[in-house]
Amino acid sequence: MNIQSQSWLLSRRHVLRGLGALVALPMLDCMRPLSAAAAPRPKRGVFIYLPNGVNTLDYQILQSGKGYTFSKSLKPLEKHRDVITPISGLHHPHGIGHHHGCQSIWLTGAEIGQGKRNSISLDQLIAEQTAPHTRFSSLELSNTGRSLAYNRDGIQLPAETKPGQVFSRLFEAPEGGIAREREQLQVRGSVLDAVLDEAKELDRKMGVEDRTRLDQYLTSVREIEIRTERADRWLDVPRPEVDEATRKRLTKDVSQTSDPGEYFRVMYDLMVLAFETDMTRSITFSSGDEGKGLPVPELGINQTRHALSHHNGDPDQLARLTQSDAFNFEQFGYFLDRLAAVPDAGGSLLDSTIALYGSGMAYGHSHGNANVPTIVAGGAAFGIKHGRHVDFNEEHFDGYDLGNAKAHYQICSRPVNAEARVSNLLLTLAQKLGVETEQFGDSARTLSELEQA
Amino acid sequence: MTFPAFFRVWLLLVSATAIGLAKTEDFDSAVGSFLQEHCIRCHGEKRQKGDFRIDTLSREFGEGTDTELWFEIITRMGAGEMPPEDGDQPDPEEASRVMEWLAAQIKAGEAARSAKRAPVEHYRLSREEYAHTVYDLLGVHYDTRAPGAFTEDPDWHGFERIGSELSLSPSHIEKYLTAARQILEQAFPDSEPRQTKNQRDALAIDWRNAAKRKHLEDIGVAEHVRTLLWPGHKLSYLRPDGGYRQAAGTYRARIQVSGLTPEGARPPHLVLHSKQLDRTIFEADVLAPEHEPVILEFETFIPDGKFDITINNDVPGPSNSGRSGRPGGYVFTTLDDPKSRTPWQRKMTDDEGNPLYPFLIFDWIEWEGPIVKSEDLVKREGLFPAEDATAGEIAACLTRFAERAWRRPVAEGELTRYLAIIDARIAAGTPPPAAYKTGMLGILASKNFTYLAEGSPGENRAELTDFELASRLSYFLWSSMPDAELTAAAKAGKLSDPEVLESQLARMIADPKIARFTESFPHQWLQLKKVGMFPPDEKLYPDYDRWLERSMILETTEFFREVFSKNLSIGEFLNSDWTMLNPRLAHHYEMKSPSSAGFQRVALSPETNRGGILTHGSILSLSSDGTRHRPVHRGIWVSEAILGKTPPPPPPNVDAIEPNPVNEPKATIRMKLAAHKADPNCASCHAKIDPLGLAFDNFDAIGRWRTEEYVPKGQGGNPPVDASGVLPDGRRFEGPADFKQLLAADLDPFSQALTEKLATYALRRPMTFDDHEQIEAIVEETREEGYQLRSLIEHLVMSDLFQKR
Repeated sequence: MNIQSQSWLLSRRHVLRGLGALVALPMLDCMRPLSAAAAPRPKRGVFIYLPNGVNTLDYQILQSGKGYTFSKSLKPLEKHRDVITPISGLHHPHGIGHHHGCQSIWLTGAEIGQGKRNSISLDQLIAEQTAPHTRFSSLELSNTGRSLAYNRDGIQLPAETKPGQVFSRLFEAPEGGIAREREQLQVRGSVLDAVLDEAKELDRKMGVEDRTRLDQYLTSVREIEIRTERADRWLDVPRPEVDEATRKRLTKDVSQTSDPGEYFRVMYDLMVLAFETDMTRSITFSSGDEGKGLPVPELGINQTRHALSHHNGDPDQLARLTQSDAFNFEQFGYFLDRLAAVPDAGGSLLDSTIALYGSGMAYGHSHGNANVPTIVAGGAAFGIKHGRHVDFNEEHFDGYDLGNAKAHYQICSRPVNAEARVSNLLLTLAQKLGVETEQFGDSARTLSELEQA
Repeated sequence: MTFPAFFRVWLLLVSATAIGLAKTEDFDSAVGSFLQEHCIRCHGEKRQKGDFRIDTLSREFGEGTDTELWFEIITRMGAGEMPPEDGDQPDPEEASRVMEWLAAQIKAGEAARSAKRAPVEHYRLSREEYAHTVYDLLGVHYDTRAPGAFTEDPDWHGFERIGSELSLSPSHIEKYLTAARQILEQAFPDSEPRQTKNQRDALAIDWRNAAKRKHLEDIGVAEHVRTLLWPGHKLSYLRPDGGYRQAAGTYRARIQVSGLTPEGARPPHLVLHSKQLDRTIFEADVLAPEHEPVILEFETFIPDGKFDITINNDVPGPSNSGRSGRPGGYVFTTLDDPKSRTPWQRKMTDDEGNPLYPFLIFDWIEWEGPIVKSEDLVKREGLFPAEDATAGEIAACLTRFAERAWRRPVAEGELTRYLAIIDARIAAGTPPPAAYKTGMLGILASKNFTYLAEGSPGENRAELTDFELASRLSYFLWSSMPDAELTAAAKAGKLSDPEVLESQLARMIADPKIARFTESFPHQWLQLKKVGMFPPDEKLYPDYDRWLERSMILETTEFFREVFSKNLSIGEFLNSDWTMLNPRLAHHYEMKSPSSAGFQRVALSPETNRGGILTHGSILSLSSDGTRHRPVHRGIWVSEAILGKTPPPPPPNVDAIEPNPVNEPKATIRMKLAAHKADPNCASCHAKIDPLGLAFDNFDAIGRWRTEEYVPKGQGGNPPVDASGVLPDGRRFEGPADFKQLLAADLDPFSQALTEKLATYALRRPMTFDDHEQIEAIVEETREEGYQLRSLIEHLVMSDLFQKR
C-alpha cells in the first residue's frame, strides 16, 4: 500500500473517531458559518442570460447619464432606477459575427471555434474565491442543460433545469443519513488516491507532448479530492431549516413551457434563498438557450425567442418580441425586489449581490452582436453607484435615430466604439467581488463609470 | 467534376506568422520566383487577401502547422482556383512543377512529423461509448443521457469522439464515480432485487371508473372494458411498480392495444412517457383493427425508485373533452356499442363504421422485472470473489475484471494500489464484498478505463499493438470494448495477420452490435444532432411534432442501415429510387402510407421529388432555422458532409441584413441573397457555396415540397421558387433532381469525403495531408469494386491508415 493513500485513510478515521465520541469537531476555516461581526461581508455574484437579443428599436435608451427615460421594453424596471445601471455600446470583439456562439462566451470573452477552447467564465473565477466559505462552490441553472459556466480548462459545466432537483440538492440531507454519506465519501477518497497515484506514475514517464489530456485528468481528480474533503467537513454542519411553505413552493412541478412566468419566479426565489442561506455565492442562470428561449403563452406568444428574433421586419412579430423582452425584464425586476427584501448586514441582500443581466446578441434577426443589452444591478456595498445610463456609443457616432432602423441595426451589428468591451465590465465586476486581477479575457480597462454617482 | 478546395483549417491562416530560415536557398530557386510573380501580390506584405500571407509561411516542411497551409496552396492551385481567373495565368507546366516540388517537400517532412508524434495518445470514451462498454462488460444498462447523468460530449463537425475535443472536467470524475457505484451495485447487488410482475388493465388506468370494478364484475362487463384514447388523451398509472419502490434494472413490458386509422390520416401514436425520468419509455404508431388488437413488447431500463408512466395518443385531433370523449355508458367496450357515445357527443365513426379520428384503444400492460438475462450473467462470471475468498482468489478476480475493463493485460504490480484499498477496507471492518466493490470502483474510475490509450511512454512506435488494434476495431464498429473472441485473437498476437483481421471484421459486421455503428456513424457524419435544435415555429408549421422529428432522423439512419446491410453503392446516398418510410413520414411527404407501423423500404417515383439523403426531411430541417430554409447553410452542409470541404467562416464585419420592408413586393430568400452577392468580399465564396443549397429551395424549413415560397408580409403573391443554378465548374442544373444527378455522375469526390468521415470516426482525429495518399488509395480500390459501402469500410480497416498510429 502506498503511503499517501494510507495517510488519507488514517486522517479520515481520525475524524470519524472524533464524531463517534460526540465531540464537536474543531471549526475549520472552510466551514465556519457567517458571523457578521468577524467575517468580512460576503460578496455574491449572479449572472442571468437573455437569449437572442431584443427588439433594439424598442429597447434602446436614448439619453445617457442621470434622469434618462426608460425605453418601452425596459419600463418594468423603472421602479428599480436607483439600483440598476443599463449600459449601451458593449460588445465582445470575439463575438462579432459568431452568431449564437455569443452565449458560450458571454461570461468569458474568449475566441472559440475549431480547435479553440473557451476560457474560464466570470462566475467560476468568483467561485474560486468564495468556494471555501459555502457548501456549494457555485450553482449552474438553465432552462436547458447548457450552462453559462466554463471552468479553467474552458469546459462547460452542466446546468440544472428543475427547481425541485436544485432544492433537494441544496437543502435536503443525503438519503441514508450522514454516516452512510460519510462512508461513501471515504470510499471515494481512497479511490481517488489510487487513480491519481496511478495517473501520476504515467505522467512521470511521459514526455511533454501528450500531457494535456492526462493533465486534465490529473487536475480534475485533484479537484474532486478537494471537493470530497469539503463535502466531508460540511456533513457535520446542519443544513438550514426551510419553512414548509417555501419548500412546497420551490419543489412544486412548474412547467417552463406552459407557465414561464412562474418558472422564472420560482427559479429566482430559489436563487434568493441560496444566497440568503449562504449555500453559494456565485450563480449563473441561462433563462433561455439561444435555440430554446421560452415562449410566453400567457401573452399569447407561442414562438421561441429565436423564432421571434428572426422577425424579418414584420411589425406584429416585432411587437411580440418587445412584449417578450418586457416580460423577461419584469421577471428580473421581481428578482431584484426579492433580493432587496432580505435584510443582510445592515442593508439588504441586493447591496451585497452584484446581478448582471444581459444578452450576447442585440439584433437577432441578422445575428448582430454589438451594443448588447446589459444591465448591472445591486452591489452598493462594494461601491457600485446606480441611477445612470452608461452609454459607450456616445461620442463615437452621430446619435440614435430609431426611425432609421437600418442605421440602428448597424450599430447593433458593428461596434461603433471598439474599446467598449464586455470584458471591461466583467473585469470590473470581478474586482468588485474580490478577485485580484488586472485582466479578464480581452479586457482593456475597468469601468470607473460604475462608481460615479 | 472539380470543386473548390476550401481551407480545411482556416483558423490556422490567421496565426500563420512563423518565418522559416532554413532551406531558404533551395526554396527560392525552386519556387521563389513563381510565388513572387503569381501569389505574393495578393498574399504578401502589402495585401493579405483572405487574411492569408504566403511570404511569411514557414519553409520547414517537417514542422506541421504551416505545412498544412502549403498543402492547401497545392490543392487550390490544382483545382484551378488560384491564381484567380482575373490574374495573370501561369504556364501550366511551370505551375505543375511548383506543385510537385511543394508536394515532394511535404512528403519528405512526413518522417519528421511522425517522429514528433506524442508517445502516448489518450482518447476519452464518449458518453455513448461509456454506456455500451459498461453493458458489454457487466450486462448493466446505464443511461448516460438521463437527467443529471453525463453531460453531452462536444463535437467536431458532428463527430462526438474526437480525442482533442473530448476534454475532461472535475464534473466528469464526479459523475464517473457515481455511475460506477450504481453500475457495480446492479451487477453485484448486496441482496437479490425484489422481482415485480404485475398487470394493469383498462380499468386500472381509467381513474374515473377504477372504483367501479366490483360492480362491473358483478354485471359481467369488467372483462370487456377497454380504454379509448382520443387524440392527445393522456392517462397515468402505467407504472411497473404497482406503487412500490422498484429495484433498478431492465424491465420487460407487453402492452395490448388497437389503433384505428381514418382514411388518409395519420395512425394513432402510442407514447409511454415518464416525467420523472424525463424520457419516452416506448413509442410506436399502432395499426390494428378494433377487434384484432396487437401485443407490443419492449424492454427498458428503470432506475431504482418510484416512477409513474403515462400513456398518450400523441396525434393532433379533437381532444376528449366537451363534445368528444367519455362514453355514454360510462365505460367503453366497443365502438359498435351505441352507448360508446351519447347523442350530443362527437361522432366517432362514419356510416360504414370507419373511424373518423385516430383512436388508440388500450387493454392492458404487463410488467416483469428486473430481468436478468443469462447472457448478461455470463459476463459477470469469475469477476466477483466468494465471501471467504483467499487473497489470491481476490487478486485473480480483480485481475480478470481489470483486464476486461482496461481492454489489455495488466502488468505485474499494476493492481497493487487497488488491492490495497480492498485490504484497507477489510481491515477497517467493512464486509469483504463491499470492500471488494471499492476495488472494482477504482478500476472503473481509473484512466485506463476512461481513456483508450495508444502508444507507450518513451517509445515512438507507429505500429499499433494487437490490443490497441482490437480496441480501435471494436470502438469503430461496436462503439464498445472488444469481445472475448477479438481479445483472444489479440492475445494470440494474430490480429494484425491480414487473414485473421479480415475474418474478425466479417464476424463483427455480422454481429447484432453492428447496429450501434449503423446508427451512430450517420448521426455524427450528417450532424443529425442538429435536427430540432431550433424547433420549427408552431405558427408556421403546426404539423411539426416530436414524432415527426424522431421519424425524420430514423429515416436517415434506417437508410444508412439499408445501404450497409445490402452492401449497396454509396451513390444511393446521393440519389436513389427508394427510401425508408414509416406512416408518419409518408404523411409528411404526402405519399401513400405503408400499411404497417415501423420503417419499410418504399419505391420512389420521380413525382415524389424524393430520393437519396439530400431530400430527407432530417437534412432539409437541420440546415434550416425553424422559421425559414437557409440556402447558405444547406450549401455549407452539402459542402462539408458530401464533398468533405469546409468553407471558411464569413469575415467578422459583414453588414447587418435588413429586414424585408413590409410595403415592398414579396421576395424569396434567394432574391435577398442575390443583393448580398454585390459585395465582392462575400461574392467569391458565396458563388461556390450558395448553388449547393439553392438547389433545394423547393423544400421548406421542415422539408416539404413546394413550388412557391411562403413570405408572410409584403406586396403581391408568394414568389415562385427558383432552384436552378450553376456549379463552380460551370455546369447548370434546373432543380434538385438535376443537381443530384450531377452529384452522382462522379462518385469520387463523395467517396473521398465519406472515406475521410469514416476514418475520422474510426481514428478519433481529423484527417491531415499526411493521410491524403492512403485515403486516395482506399477510394481507388473501392471504385474498382463499384463503390460499395462495405467494401469501402473493409478497405479502410485493412489499410495502414487504420492499422498504424
